[in-house]
Amino acid sequence: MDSNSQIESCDQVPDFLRDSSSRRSISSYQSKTSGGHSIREVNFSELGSKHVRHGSTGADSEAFSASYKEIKEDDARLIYINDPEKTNDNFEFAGNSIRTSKYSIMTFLPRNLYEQFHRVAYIYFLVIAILNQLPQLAVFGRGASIMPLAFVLLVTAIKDAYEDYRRHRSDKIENNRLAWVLVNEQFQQIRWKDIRVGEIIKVSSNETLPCDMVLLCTSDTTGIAYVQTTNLDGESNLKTRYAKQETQMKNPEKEKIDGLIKCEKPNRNIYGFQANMDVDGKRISLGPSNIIIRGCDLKNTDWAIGVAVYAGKETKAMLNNSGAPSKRSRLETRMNREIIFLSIFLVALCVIVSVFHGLWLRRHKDELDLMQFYRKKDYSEPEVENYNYYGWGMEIFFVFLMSIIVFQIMIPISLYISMELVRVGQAFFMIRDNRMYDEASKSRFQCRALNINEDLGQIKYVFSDKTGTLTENKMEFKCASIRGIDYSSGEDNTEDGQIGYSAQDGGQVLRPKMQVKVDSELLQLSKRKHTAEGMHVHDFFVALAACNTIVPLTVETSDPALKLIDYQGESPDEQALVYAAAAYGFVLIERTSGHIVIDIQGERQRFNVLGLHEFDSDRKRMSVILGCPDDTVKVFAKGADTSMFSVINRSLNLNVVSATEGHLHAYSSMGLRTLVIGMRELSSSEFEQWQSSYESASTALMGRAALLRRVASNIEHHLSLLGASGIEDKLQQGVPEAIESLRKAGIKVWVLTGDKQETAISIGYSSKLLTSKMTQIVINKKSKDSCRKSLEDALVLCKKITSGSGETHVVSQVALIIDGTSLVYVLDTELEGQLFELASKCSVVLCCRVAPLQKAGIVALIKNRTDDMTLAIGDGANDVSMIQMADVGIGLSGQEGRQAVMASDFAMGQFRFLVPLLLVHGHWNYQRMSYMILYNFYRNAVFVLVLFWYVLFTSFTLTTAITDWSSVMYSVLYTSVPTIIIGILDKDLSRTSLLKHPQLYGAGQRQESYNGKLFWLTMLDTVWQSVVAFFFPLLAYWGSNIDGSSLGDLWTLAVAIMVNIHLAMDVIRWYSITHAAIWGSIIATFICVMAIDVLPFLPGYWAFFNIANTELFWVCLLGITVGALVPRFVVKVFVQYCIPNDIQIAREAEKRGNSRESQDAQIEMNPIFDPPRQ
Amino acid sequence: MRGFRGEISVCIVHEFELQASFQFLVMAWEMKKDKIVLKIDCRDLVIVRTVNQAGHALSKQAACCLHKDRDSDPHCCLGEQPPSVDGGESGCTRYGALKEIDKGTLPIAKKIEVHGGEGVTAHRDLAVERQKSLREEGENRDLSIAASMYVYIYIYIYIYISVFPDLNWSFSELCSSDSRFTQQELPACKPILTPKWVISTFLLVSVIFIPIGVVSLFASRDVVEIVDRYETDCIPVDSRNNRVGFIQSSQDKTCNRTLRVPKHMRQPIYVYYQLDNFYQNHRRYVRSRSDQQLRSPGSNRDTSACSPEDTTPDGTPIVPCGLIAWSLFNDTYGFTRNNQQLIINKRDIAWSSDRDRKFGDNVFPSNFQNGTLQGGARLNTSIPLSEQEDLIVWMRTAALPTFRKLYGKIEVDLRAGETIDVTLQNNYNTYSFNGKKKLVLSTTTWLGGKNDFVGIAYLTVGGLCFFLAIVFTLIYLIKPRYFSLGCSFYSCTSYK
Repeated sequence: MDSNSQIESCDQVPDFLRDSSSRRSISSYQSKTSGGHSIREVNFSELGSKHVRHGSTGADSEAFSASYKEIKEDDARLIYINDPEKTNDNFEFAGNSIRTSKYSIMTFLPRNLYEQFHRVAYIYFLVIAILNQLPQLAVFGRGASIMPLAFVLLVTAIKDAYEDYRRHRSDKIENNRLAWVLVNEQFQQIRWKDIRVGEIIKVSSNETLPCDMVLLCTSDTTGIAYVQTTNLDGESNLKTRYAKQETQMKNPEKEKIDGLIKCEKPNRNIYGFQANMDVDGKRISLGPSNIIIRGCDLKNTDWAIGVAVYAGKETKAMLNNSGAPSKRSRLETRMNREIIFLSIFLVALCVIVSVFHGLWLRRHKDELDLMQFYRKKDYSEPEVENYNYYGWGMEIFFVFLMSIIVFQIMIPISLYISMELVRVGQAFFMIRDNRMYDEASKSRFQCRALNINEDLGQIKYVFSDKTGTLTENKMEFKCASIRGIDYSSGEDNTEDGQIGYSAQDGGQVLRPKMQVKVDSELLQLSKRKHTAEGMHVHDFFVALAACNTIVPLTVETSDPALKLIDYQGESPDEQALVYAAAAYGFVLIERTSGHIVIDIQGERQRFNVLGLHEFDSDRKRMSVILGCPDDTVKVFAKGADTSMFSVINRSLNLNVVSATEGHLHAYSSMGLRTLVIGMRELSSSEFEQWQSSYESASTALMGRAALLRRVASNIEHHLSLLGASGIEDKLQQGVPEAIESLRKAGIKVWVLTGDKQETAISIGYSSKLLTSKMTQIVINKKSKDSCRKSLEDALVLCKKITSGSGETHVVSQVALIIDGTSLVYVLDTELEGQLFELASKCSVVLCCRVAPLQKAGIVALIKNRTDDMTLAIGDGANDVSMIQMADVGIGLSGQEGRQAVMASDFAMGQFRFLVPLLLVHGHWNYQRMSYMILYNFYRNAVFVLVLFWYVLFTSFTLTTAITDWSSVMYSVLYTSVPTIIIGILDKDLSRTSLLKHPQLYGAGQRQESYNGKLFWLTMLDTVWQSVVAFFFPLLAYWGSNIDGSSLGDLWTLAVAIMVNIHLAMDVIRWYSITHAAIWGSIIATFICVMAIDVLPFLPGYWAFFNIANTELFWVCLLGITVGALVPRFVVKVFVQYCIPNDIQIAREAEKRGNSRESQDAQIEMNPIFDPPRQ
Repeated sequence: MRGFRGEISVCIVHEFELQASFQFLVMAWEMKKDKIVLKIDCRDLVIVRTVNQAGHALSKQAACCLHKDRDSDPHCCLGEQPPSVDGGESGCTRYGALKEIDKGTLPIAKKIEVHGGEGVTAHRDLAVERQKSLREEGENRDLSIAASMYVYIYIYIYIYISVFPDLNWSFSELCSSDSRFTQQELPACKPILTPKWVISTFLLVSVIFIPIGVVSLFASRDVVEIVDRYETDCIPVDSRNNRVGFIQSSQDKTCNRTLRVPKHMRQPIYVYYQLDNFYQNHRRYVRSRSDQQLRSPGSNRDTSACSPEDTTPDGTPIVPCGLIAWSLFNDTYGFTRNNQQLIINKRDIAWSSDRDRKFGDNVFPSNFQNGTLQGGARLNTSIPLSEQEDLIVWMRTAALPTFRKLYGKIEVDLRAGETIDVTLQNNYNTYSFNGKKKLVLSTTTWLGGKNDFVGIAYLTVGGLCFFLAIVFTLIYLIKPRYFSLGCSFYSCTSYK
């Protein structure tokens, strides 16, 4: 049967029902109706028409709209339903077996090594180890040199192997799970891996989908299947998917389904799907609501049958299975510059050694043969030959390579490992911080990226989403304007008496889950059905209850007589509206794809959903076409005020329109989100016209979305204004205080919102982002030239204000408010520079009506033009691009799903946690990490220099007095633990001080703790300390009978002690663990030196015990430690006393504050509460 | 997991739920009241980590699972992971998305985790590996246990960390949430450099350093030292143009020197020879020895490092081999005072540790100095190496190119003004590299020989610290700084 011809032949309009969601483009259609509310329906039933359409229209989430394309022939994949042989005949589609494992037994070794050596550090290790294997160069014992690398490689390999083994195992489990597949006209259990594209699969309730499949039929007569996509996007609410009516009626076990599905090539968009199905000679379009994808769970549906379209690695879930790209912290990037300096330094040392060695050889070249300590000639052989002498040039070259081996730890490889450890420790404390624990959602802080902890201490710009980030995104219906009359519940006295409306269902009471405050006047009105106002109110609330995509679910309670209705939906606004309607006695009881049942003042009424134009971001409204119980067909529309007023027939009642506009303005200045509701009754000719165009639009193969949009615009016009609603989006707890703190910390907070200007400004005021003292510059222009002009004007104004303030001593701040339309003309054009200039002069920037990509564009504007760190925080899918663009992305696990969290580097529960996160943890992380990096540079360089000085006394031959094992263990054991412990635990200031004085955050922004100057000062100190550590013993033992091993032990101990005491000097808080680490390391060094010296096969046997027996040894140790550290101590004391920075002052204040809370100090602190002037 | 080398035990105890997470390491975190205790069991390398709902450690129960017979213990099971975690776990590995959700939404279950297996094998393999490589190496066997332990722990922690994202949730379960540790509120001492502290520190340093400096200086001055440089004077005048030729010839190289005792020298008087410009720390030289060979007669073929003085041309090993032994110093000194011989005690000049354990008492020199080129002294082949004290002293290579080596001890006092005649055999060839040779007689003090450096350095540091103490006192008096009065954040900081 051809569907089109059927439509034409049928002059009675078939019941054509559409349901769709405003956001996820679920649309459906269903033919089942109960009872004969209309003649049309009866006719329809008589005809036995089964054609149903489940087209998908429009964009779903805006972020994904770009992926919508019409299917081209070349890009299509053809699936013959229930004919896997034919399906796979021409095109070999991937089987359903999956492979997440990376290696097989054969490929493990080469691939794993290849991957491991992607780390530069390992290559460095390897080169050094290889160099050391050459007999001419063997400086360390060969084993000793290759051990660290082999160990790390082996351990990592084992870890990888284990992980891969686990993946193999879980792949195997996954592949061997059983699914019911139609084979020879009956369902048989076969293994997942054997499923092929084109096969028909039956899934039962609570089972997981084995592959992506197009629904054919479900246990629900209307073809609905509920799925949970927790595995994919983390959203736990049920999503509805629909089987096409053409196939729904067929039972594949009894009736063979033949058909061809033409669908897109596999892609990773889990919210998009486009296909056509040719079944029974009809062409039906398929959309995202007709496909259920691998990894979903079927819920609340007994069974569902579908045909596999994508299998195995081509499923959307598998295509999405990739990790987030890792970011590198700013500190680490800066650090690399210093690493390069150190490399140059290393090469310089090596060059010095090799050149001097060459000179030495040259000077002694005539004597080399006979020197007892050189012996160039090997006289023991009958033929007297050169012994291990490769000529002047080669000797120099070898010495150069050898010196690289000896001085290798100049490049602090261990630093990378230490940094990772420290970051984990820091992450641990961030995760465990009770002050960042969200009671409401019971969620802790999450560190999703481990590399950028310290960036949190250097943030200069915060870009925040508004809805769900600053506000709770828990909508509450506040006021309504119906027909020009404002019903604001205000302070309602009668609310005690109102427990909300309940509907009766047999002996049971159905009550909405959430109670809404009601306006008593409006409540009275809503009950008077037969007055004119009553009718308006009636229509208004019917629109609220019907014009949405909310699904009511009844929930049992402990009281068997009482059931709660839970309105499940994806838009919190709609939920609020439906709850509000319910409170006024318009309880949405049931929604199927074909009809809705509303309990109106105790009377059940049934509305047929004839069509639905879902929300899209172009139209900014949605509409539903209802067949009402009184046999009229009405279109109800709701949407944003701008978009609605353009389609409202103003001539009908001008006063009402202007009054409503006034109310809307008032609502939005109260910070409410407004929606305008309109309605129109359709004549039958109009309806038919609409229906046929709707029909053809939704079957269109090309440009379906655009066509549907056009159909919608054709019907959405000349609406009569029903009224407007105001929904409150409550500010989250602590947001104004948090913004205040961030501002004081010198962080610029920009709010980027999709809301309209008035709402944005009002939220700006309530969140203390804007103050009445500020001068507002508003830019909302509709052309490039006007944008340019306003930008220029604004710049002039801005200069005037800032220059004027100098005389009056009044800091007048400027706030910039710019809307998305203007940004279209500004971003990516030459005006960008002006905007940046202007924005950087403004203390507050509010961007309203911005699209997700514009959010990212604004972040990029700052990121590309300054060196400042940016942070983006948001909770919704529309913030993803911004979160990924910013240096640090924070996702709030809020109401709008978890896409933001998935894209973020850190995730938390509430906006206000940003304050402890940045001001406390960020500050600590930055301070700790900066110090640790500098210290690690120092610690390794000092050791290398001590080795270097000795080399100068060995005729440049790279002998080390310090034993090989001590060299290896120096950065591993002797000195590493304290720096890690201190990197994790040390706190420069207490949490209270940091929160009390947000200005302290500036240290990170100004890079006070790690910069080039500090690096060079540290290196200067390093040279001094190494000189003392080396030359003190050298001179003290000069000309004595000291042996190399003993002196080596002295140097080892001196350096280890000196380095640890150096650290101890900088420790700010001494915990018991700190004590244990520092003194423990020194003791461990002693123990290790002793342990090495009790091995009789080493040359240094017993050396330590012999030298430790002399007083001079201990005198040297003491002298070195003090002598080396005195300059540092003096500088430290001098700086702290004479030119202290904020942190030192605050620390002193903290110390003093502990003993006496001085009032003077309080008074002194006051000035800082003024925001810093730039 | 069965069938893998080693074994893995996965335990499910009633009312606990297994937390499936990758745990390679062998470590136990135990939450005490205010700290985490990290446990590492080296013997069976099994980690036990248990956490109940309150976050309290339950290591005892877990430990039972490991040590008791699994079959007899009803609370333990062995084998595959329970199906209950199946879906979630496989989902975890499969879809990156799931991990996060589980972390966020899973109810906090009482859980117990027992891990082992691969970790064990890995560790043992490593140990074997290490042993093997060490044995091959021959020289660096047996690193101290403590040290290797540490390396293990370090790397284990590192690995643990590198799989951290997997462990995020379980990791965060380790400590009870409101402990002072996790909230970073452990009691701490936070010293501040107040003027009082600074000045006292400087004063303390000067108080300690100045006396030590003075004492050291006095000690150094107390040392009486006679130094006689003889390498030129002991060459006959006519041979001075061809000094290397002279020293290589078989002429009589006896040389008489006269020393004057400047001050009273109390016994024991140490007799040293001092060589200058002799790089006993030269890389080629230092390594040219075989400590194995010196210690045990079985290892006399262990001469791989000794080249070019490793074997005779026919391949028999030289004992002691290597350049160090070959170049043994062979000048000899005889002392007479008033024509009466001064006895030089050449016993106990080497470290007793070297004599006892480093040089074998059953190792005898063989093939020594038989080559065409003589490096230095010959050894009596009938005396074991442990009694060749000159060799032992020589083999303890000096740290610096200018060094002294103990030749012997004179165990009588020498009075001021006495003259001592030295009869020396000038055999050692330092002429080929212009090395100086000196004979040194020196007394000793607690500080060692004559060296003013320590005293001067200590006095300098002490004096400097005293000076600094005064400077800071002055700064403190002239420009006192009170935080609450003179300086607020704003006025003192870089906020401008």
